[in-house]
Amino acid sequence: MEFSRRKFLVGSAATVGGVALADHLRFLQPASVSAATPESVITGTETIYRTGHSNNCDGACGHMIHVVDGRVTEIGPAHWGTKTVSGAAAPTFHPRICLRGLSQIANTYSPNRIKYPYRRVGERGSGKWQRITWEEATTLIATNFKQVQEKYGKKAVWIAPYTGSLALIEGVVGAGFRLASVIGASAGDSEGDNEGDSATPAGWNYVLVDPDNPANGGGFFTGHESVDFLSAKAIVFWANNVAETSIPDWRIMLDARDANGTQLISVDPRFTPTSAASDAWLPIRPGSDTALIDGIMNYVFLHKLYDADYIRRYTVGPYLVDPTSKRWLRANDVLPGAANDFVVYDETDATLKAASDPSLTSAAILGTYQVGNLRAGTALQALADMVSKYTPEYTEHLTDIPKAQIVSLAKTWGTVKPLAVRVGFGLSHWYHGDLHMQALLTLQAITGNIGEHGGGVTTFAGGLTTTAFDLFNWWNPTGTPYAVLEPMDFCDAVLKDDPYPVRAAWFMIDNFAQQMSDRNQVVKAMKALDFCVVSDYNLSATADIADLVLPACTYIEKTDLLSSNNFYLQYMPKIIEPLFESKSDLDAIRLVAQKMGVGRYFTETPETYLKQILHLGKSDADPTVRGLTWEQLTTEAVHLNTDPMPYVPFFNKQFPTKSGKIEFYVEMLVPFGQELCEHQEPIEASPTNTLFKKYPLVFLSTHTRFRTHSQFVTLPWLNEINNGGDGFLEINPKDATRRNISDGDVVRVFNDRGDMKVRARLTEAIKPGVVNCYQGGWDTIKVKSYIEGHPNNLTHQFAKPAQALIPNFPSNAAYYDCLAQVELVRE
Amino acid sequence: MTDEKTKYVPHHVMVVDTNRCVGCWTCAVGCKEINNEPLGFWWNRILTTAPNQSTTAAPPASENIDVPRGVFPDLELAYLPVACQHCNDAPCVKVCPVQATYRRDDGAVLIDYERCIGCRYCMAACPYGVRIFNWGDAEYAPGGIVGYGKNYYDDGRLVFTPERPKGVVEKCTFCVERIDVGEEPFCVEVCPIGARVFGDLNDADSEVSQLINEGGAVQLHPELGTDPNVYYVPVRKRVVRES
Amino acid sequence: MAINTVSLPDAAEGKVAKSVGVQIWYALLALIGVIGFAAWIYELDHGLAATGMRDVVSWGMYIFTFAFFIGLSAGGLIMASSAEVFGIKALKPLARLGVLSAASCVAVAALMIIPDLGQPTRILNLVRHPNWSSPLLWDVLIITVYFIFSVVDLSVLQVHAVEPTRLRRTMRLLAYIGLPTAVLLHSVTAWIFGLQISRTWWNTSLMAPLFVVSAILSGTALVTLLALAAERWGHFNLPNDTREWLRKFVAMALLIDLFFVACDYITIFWGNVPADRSALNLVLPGGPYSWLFWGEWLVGGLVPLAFLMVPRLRRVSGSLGIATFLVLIGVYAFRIELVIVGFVNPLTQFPPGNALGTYNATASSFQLVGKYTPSLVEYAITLGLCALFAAIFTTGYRRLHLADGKMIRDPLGSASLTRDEGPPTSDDNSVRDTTLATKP
Ligand SMILES: Nc1nc2c(c(=O)[nH]1)N[C@H]1C(S)=C(S)[C@@H](COP(=O)(O)OP(=O)(O)OC[C@H]3O[C@@H](n4cnc5c(=O)[nH]c(N)nc54)[C@H](O)[C@@H]3O)O[C@H]1N2
Ligand SMILES: Nc1nc2c(c(=O)[nH]1)N[C@H]1C(S)=C(S)[C@@H](COP(=O)(O)OP(=O)(O)OC[C@H]3O[C@@H](n4cnc5c(=O)[nH]c(N)nc54)[C@H](O)[C@@H]3O)O[C@H]1N2
Ligand code: SF4
Ligand code: SF4
Ligand code: SF4
Ligand code: SF4
Ligand code: SF4
Ligand SMILES: [Mo]
Repeated sequence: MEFSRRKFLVGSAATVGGVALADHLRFLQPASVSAATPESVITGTETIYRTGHSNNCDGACGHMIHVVDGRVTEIGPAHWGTKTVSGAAAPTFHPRICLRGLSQIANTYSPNRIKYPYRRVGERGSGKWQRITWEEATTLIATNFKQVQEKYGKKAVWIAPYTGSLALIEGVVGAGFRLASVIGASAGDSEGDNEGDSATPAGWNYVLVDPDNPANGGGFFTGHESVDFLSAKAIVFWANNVAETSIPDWRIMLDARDANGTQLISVDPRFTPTSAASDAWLPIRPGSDTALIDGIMNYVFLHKLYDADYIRRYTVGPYLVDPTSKRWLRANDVLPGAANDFVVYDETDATLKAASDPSLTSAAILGTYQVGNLRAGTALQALADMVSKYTPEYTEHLTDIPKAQIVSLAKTWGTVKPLAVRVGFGLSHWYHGDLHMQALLTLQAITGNIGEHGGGVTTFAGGLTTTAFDLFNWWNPTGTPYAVLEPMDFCDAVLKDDPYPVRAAWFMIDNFAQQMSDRNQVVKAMKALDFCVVSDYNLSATADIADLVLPACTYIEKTDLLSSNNFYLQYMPKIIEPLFESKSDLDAIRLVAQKMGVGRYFTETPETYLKQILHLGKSDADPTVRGLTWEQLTTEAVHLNTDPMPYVPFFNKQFPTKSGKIEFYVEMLVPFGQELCEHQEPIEASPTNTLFKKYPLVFLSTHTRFRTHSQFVTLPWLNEINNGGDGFLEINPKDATRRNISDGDVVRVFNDRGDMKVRARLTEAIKPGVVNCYQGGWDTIKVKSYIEGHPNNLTHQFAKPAQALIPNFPSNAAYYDCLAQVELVRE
Repeated sequence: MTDEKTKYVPHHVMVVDTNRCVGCWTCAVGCKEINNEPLGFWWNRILTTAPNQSTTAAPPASENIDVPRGVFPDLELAYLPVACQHCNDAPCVKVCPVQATYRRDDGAVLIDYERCIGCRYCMAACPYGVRIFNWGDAEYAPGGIVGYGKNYYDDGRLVFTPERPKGVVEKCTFCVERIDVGEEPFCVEVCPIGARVFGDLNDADSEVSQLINEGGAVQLHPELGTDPNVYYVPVRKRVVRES
Repeated sequence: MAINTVSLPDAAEGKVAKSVGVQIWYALLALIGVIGFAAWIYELDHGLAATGMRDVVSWGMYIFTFAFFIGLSAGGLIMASSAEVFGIKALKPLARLGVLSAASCVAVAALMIIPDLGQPTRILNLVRHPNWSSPLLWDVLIITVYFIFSVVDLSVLQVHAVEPTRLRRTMRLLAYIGLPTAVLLHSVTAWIFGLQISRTWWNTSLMAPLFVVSAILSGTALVTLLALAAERWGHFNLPNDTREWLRKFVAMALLIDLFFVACDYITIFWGNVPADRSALNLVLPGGPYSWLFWGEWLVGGLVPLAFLMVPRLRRVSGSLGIATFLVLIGVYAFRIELVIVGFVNPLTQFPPGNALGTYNATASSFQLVGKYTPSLVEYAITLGLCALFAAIFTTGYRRLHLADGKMIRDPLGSASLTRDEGPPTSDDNSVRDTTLATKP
């Protein structure tokens, strides 16, 4: 349909050349509907393309895109390849799509799209723009970047390409890093841990990965292939609203239930569609998850429901701990002539031995033994001792879950095998998210559920695909890596030159000014920048405060590869020409790079880069993609070579830890008192906090199925079913009545950091004492999803020091670890 | 619909498994896309209810979607996707004064957009609230016509056109333009949970037959005798642990 | 038509046309009519989006006014026929007035449907592709029959009035056909609603009797009002026994009508079926539509009953007029309530409800419980058609010389019914405003 396009092109002609005031810029104004179109039927030949949906949702679905006369007319779900790269049979995987994927037509043709490069003409954030050419825009960027780098050092330019897209070249691991590296700039980290998704991965690495080993690349994160859940006998959705945040995966859970009678259990303070469809729901007090896990473990120990054999073989359970230093007893310290090894107690001959002693027959997993003048217990004993206070009563006290339910879940955990855990990143949005993950892995380890089909702890299962790529050379063509500046460090870098000054930034696939926590601080820092560029196809809150906005392409308009959260490589061909003057992020970077004198690193087409990154046709390609051909890649979604199939991490029980075992006793966390997963109260959202008196409600800002973060927010199809696009605050009638709040009233949600206004929605689906306002709605100059403000006005940026041990997941925004008060606003 | 050689007429039915449906609205948005439904039009919509709730029972807990019944923590929530039920004894067919709404031999109830006089009697008569009237000039999501995009005639009668004329009534067509060429209705194709099944009830081995004959699938408002061709598998009682 | 064969005194006509009051009256009606017509043109251009109807409440003012007019059309014909069939002499003076009102009402009722159609140009599809199972089709049929019948009846009465010896048998015959036709008209119209299993509020077998009673009630009330008006402005003579009979008859009809409505309420109460109760709750005091309840039971029920039956109130000047006017309001309230509450309370009532069929970027596209406010266009068109009714009636009244003393005589040639019968009662408007009088 040429209609809206023509209309907007005409609209723009008037402003070419002249300084335009905001009022003239119709193309920037959100208009959510167009009038009835003149055409009445679609004519012309239809071409259908397969692509992957890369827009920051781990569903990682495949789309079939129907195109007539260069216009997308239909989007539907795509089939998956039935073979692996090497030709073995891949598991059955159903076509998948969701309401947001279907709405991508409307997103691509949205009148909200940024159509041309613009330069700010008013105050920063005043919404006044002047259209400029790409030539002018890229010259401005290059000049400003060079100036800033000269004045404040190379790293003073920050390239922030985050998870708005999960594609390879233009997404979470995209070309922005390559630019940063060749101009010596700093960049955000790349592990998909932008903002709030790195606490649980850090916890995962504590237990399963040695971050100091270069082979582990600073830490990684993966999980079970989603179809592996078909083998589970029980699946626990821990802070995971699968039925909304990974809708197509819910089918697999139900298939498991239908096939094996698998029990589905949801642990969530909210009665979500996932909880409602589960067999059991445990409405936990937010942030008390580790206490529940400790309570389960206590029951498992008391009833001897742990898997002794598994613990002995695959975990550090039998290793003795020095009771004074809390560190491992080393064999060379306590056993004459022994090597630097762990110490175990052999039950068969009642002697202490080095773990690798060939005479060892059966290492004791529990017990305390005399070692010299020390009474040293096994790591498992330390764990059992630690959890012993988590009786059902005490656990109920901490978690608000009735003890019968705790016991029942513990019984299930100890007796049903395999048991799988699906953890949501919701659990990662806590200061102690790392601890929660550490605790879950500990529980899964003692019940023998790690590295087994139908077991494990899974949040995200795309880790392997990143190893399939040679990211190092893609990012650092000169061999010199870019400097990492974490999102959590951005404000200090700009406002306090800590750790070094940052004065210019390029946000390209990220809505930092809205999605990052402690937004008031973030906006302050952004406004303090000397120069700020935003590439986006929407006039986001971040673009609102830029000096320059560049029109970006949607996933349909450029070539890329998607490989997120499943084990398929999905080639993303350029299906339609970029609309208006939009350009792919790679092309934008190329133009800037040329002007900064590093154009030689950006001469290739995306296809060529893909081939390079995959080492296509080379013998040194990663085993998961070895033998892949271009034809294979571009004709179907091909499954990686994985072992086993479906993929299970550590199926061979080779753990990349220092000990080679599951380290539920984490020696490196001794300085933090977190070597064992003992419950700790949330940093803020706890009744033990003195702030609690003033702000007695835990403020969650979770994800809704009607948008993906701040994407698809202005699309009328979705808004029609999402309360007309208006955000709302879920509040329990008990809490509402106390505050004289009725359904639909305007309320103010506030704490010391900021506030927002929104309408209240009374629902029993949320635990009393907890409120929730779906994140992602817009608070831009033109579009207000909430009456005023945004949930991130209230959230904070407290980083947990322990996490810094894991280079790739060093800090995390604990969005949900937040207290607030709610009051009625008289209208 | 009819195989020319054999003159075989299938009996088309759809079954929605409410054990599976998580109320994601994908089928509704898919329906909107394939049929180029204007803004404000939803041929298919997902009702928030409780498991196996009688459709004429007590008023809902809230006018908002996703709000469960009950008091924390004893809650119940289920979803009921409702589009035209394609009633075999359809009140809408009975009342349409000009036979613009008619039942096809395979069970699909269709509207002849060229004959409808826009009296809306069918809307008054439909117990399921699935018909939508073209009150004025429609507004569409920007981007032009989407979905099937062509006119479709059933036996010479215009039963689908991408932009419906003003003043006629419209509703789910069972995706006749797709099922007549052996494709599934789009809502069935897109449902990410596999909660929707379409097929031939004449064929005892078909999945729909099994879901209806053994799976206990039921019709909405069976007491009305409308005999819909859309069935719902009720929510089986789940193993609820002691609390 | 038959009236053309009857010679009418032309002097009267000349005078009629010259009256300033009448000209103002016609000008007013024309103005309202033109506004209504313009509104219809607007509606044709914008579609029914110009109305306040949307998908949950998809019938509105046109339909309840249609049903109201159908009901109104009952009175005259039933009176005229009853006078004949049951020999109620007191009704005889009202026969022509009544039938004239019936014909005008049914014509306007039929026209009322046109602006309600989305595709009015396809109306002939009713003839080309009739669906005999549709109550609507039958209603169209019976309306047509009823209209033709009323016109014929009126002609016959007119001829008879001028020449009392002519067409007496035909008149009698028509009277016997008239009653069942009227009953049928109201029953079929009732069945448009009453047969629908989709709306518990409608789906009662009491609907047809209720329609018949409320039609008789409102129709009689209308004829009474028209007669009173004619008496006031048109030198019509309403004899006292007629007045008394009307008073009693309207009271009785009102009681039966309320009784029927109460029967439905009791059935719903006792059964306590949620879907029925939720509809009734909308109407009962406390519900959003309780104003209709009060309109029906108080304004159109108890108050007129008091005016009709309580001796002290009966004596209030104009009590009959007040009572019948209030009765009309009550019956109109009942029509609104019937149609709107039926829609407002859909059978399947889970959030988010039904799609509305129109888009508003800032509001939900769904409605769980229907809402309806008629638009100005609907008011204009409806009022325009009411003006049309007034114009038809006035013209008919004048052209047929219903107030012409010469012609008011007993069609059966019995007792003479002149205005000098008995002393005037207190509510007899003996002091008349003569500004609009057509004759001294
Ligand atoms: N309060 C609160 N805040 C949260 C969360 C929460 O739960 N609560 N969740 C956090 C989490 S888990 C995440 S992952 C983050 C997500 O935060 P972000 O990644 O910042 O959010 P998105 O809205 O997904 O995408 C950002 C922008 O990328 C643009 N975009 C998409 N594709 C492309 C492309 O190909 N090129 C370019 N140039 N731009 C593109 C989109 O238009 C959008 O404006 O939000 C975090 N923020
Ligand atoms: N529709 C949709 N899908 C998405 C996204 C989206 O924005 N929209 N974003 C994608 C991205 S980037 C991410 S990170 C994922 C997030 O996916 P999820 O982690 O599933 O989503 P969340 O909404 O953050 O949190 C899940 C649940 O955790 C619960 N919860 C909050 N605090 C606690 C707690 O302390 N303990 C427990 N047990 N539960 C708690 C919340 O009530 C919520 O229901 O979703 C991805 N998929
Ligand atoms: S938004 Fe997520 S679930 Fe939906 S189609 Fe895209 S990848 Fe799939
Ligand atoms: S797409 Fe499937 S799961 Fe989603 S609402 Fe529709 S039927 Fe239910
Ligand atoms: S559901 Fe309604 S529209 Fe569909 S066939 Fe039945 S009565 Fe007709
Ligand atoms: S609106 Fe159209 S389809 Fe419905 S009853 Fe009237 S003529 Fe028939
Ligand atoms: S069958 Fe087709 S028209 Fe009917 S609801 Fe499904 S997608 Fe919509
Ligand atoms: Mo995320």
